[in-house]
Amino acid sequence: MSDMANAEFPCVVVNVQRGGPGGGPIRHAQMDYLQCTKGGGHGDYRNIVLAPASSQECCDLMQLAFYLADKYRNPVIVLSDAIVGRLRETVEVEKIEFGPVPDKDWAVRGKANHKDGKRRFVEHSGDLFGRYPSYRALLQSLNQKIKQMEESELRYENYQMEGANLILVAYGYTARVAKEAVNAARAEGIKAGLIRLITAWPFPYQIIRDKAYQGCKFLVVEDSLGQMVEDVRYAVEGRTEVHLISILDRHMPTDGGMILPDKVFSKIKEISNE
Amino acid sequence: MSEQIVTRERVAGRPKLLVPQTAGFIYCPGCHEPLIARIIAEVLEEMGMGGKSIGIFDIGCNSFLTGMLDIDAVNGPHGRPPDMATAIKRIYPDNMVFTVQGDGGLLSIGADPLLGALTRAEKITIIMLNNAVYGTTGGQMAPTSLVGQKTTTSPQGRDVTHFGYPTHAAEMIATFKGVAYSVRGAVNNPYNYERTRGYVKTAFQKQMNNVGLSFVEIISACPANWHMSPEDSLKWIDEKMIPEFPLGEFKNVDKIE
Repeated sequence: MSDMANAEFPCVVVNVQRGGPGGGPIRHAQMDYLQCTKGGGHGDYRNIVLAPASSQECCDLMQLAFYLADKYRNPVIVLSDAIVGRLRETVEVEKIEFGPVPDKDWAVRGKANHKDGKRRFVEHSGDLFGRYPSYRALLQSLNQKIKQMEESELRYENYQMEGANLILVAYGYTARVAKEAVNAARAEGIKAGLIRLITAWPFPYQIIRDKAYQGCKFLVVEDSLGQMVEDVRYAVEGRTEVHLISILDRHMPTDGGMILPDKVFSKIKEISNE
Repeated sequence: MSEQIVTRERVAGRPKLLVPQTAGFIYCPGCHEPLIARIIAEVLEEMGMGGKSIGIFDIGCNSFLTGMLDIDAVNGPHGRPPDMATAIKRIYPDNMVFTVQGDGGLLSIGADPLLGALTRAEKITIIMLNNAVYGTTGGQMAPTSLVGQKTTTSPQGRDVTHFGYPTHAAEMIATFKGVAYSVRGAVNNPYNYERTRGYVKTAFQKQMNNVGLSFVEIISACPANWHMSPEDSLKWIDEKMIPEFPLGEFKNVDKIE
C-alpha cells in the first residue's frame, strides 16, 4: 500500500478487523486503527479510512471508497470488524452519483493506445525516474494531497449531541453499542452524546477540541487496548478528562467477548457522579 | 543480395525502440543488460509489437531498462512483476506483456509470485537475467550463485552445507504444464547472442499465439560484482556458468492440452 501511495495508484482495501496481535483469534476486535489511520506501511503517507457501522453503510461507503480512491489517486481503506461484517440488516442498494473522476491518462495500455503516442511509466519511487524533479518535490506533492484530503473528506455523525457534557467517541460496532448506552443515559437525565466516526481518517480533531474547551468530558469506547483514544487525548490538549472503555472491559474473557451497552452505561454513570 | 534484406540501417542502425542514452550511460562496463535491451527492442520492432508492449521491470539493474526502451512500463515492489503482469495481461489480453527480472528478484524474493503465475498458466513472458549474484546491491550470494563462488555474503565461497545448490530456473519452469516455452541463452559471443535473440522471439511468439507462459533465462555478465574485467567475464561464462547452466530449450510446445 505504501508503494501504491507513492505511485499514486487508486485502490480500495477492505479490512474486516480481527483480534491480534499476530495470529490472534479469528473473531472481532478493533485493533487495526493505528495501522490504518497512520499510513501503516513503510514511509510517510495517509489512507482515507471509512468505518461503516451498519449494513447500509457497508454498501454506501464502499461506493464512496472507490470514488475517493479515484479522486485522490490514493489508497482508501474500508475498516470494518467481524461484528459489522456479520450484521443482517435490510439494505437499499442504490447507485450513488459522485460526479466525474479524473481521466486515467497515466495508466499503461500500450504506447499505441495513448492519444499522444508517448509511453507511460507507472512506478513507485517518485524521483528516481524523473516523475518528480527531486525527492522534496515528491514529498511536497504528497503533503499537499494529505492536506487536501484532511480538509475535504472528514465525515462523522453527531448523535444526541445537543447539550451533551459527556461525549462518547466510537466507530464500527462499538458505536452501535455506545448509541444504546447514550439512549439509556439520556433516559435517566444524563446529558451524554456520541461522536461516531465515519472517517477514522481524517479524524474530527476540531470538534473534539472545541468541546474540550467548553468543558465536556470524553469517553472513548473501542475494542482494543487503546488506540483511537490517543487521537482524542491529542485533540483535547490536556484540557479535560478522557476515559476509556477498552477490550479488557468485554463481558467474557474468551475471544467471543464483546463490549456491551450495560458496561458502557455503568461507566457513563460513574463518570457523571464524580 | 536484395536491398531490402541488407541495409545500412539493419546492419549498423539502432532499433527505434532503443532510446539513445545521451544523458549518460548507467550500466557498468561489460554489463549484458544493454545487450538484452537491444534484443528486446529489435524483436518487438520486427514483430510490430512496440506500440502494444507493456514491460514490467523488477527492482534491480533491470529497472534502468525503463530508460532504454520506449514502451509502456511498470516498476513496482520487488519480486512482484509476475503478479502485476497477470493483472495487466488479463485486462489487456491483446497486449504483449512481459517481465524483466534478475535471478534474485524472480527466484528469491519473487518465488511466490513466480509459482502463482506458473500454476495459473498466465499467458505472459518472463525474462530472467542470471548473473549469479544480487547485482545492484553490491554482489551478495543469490539462488544461482555457483558452489564455491565467493560473494560478499559467502566470502569463503558458497558452502553447500549451509546454502545448498544453485537453482536451475529454466529446467524447473519447464516442468509446469501451463508453460509453453522454457529456454536458457547467453550473450557472451555473437553466436550465443543470435541464438538468444531467436529464443526471445520464439517466447514472444508463444504469447502472441496464446499458447501459455513463456520463459527465457539469459546468463548475463556482471563484471563489477564478479570482480573481473569484461573480457574475463565472458570467459567465466563459458568456463563456469554454462557448464552449470546449460544453454538450450527445455520445453517448446505449440499447444497445451
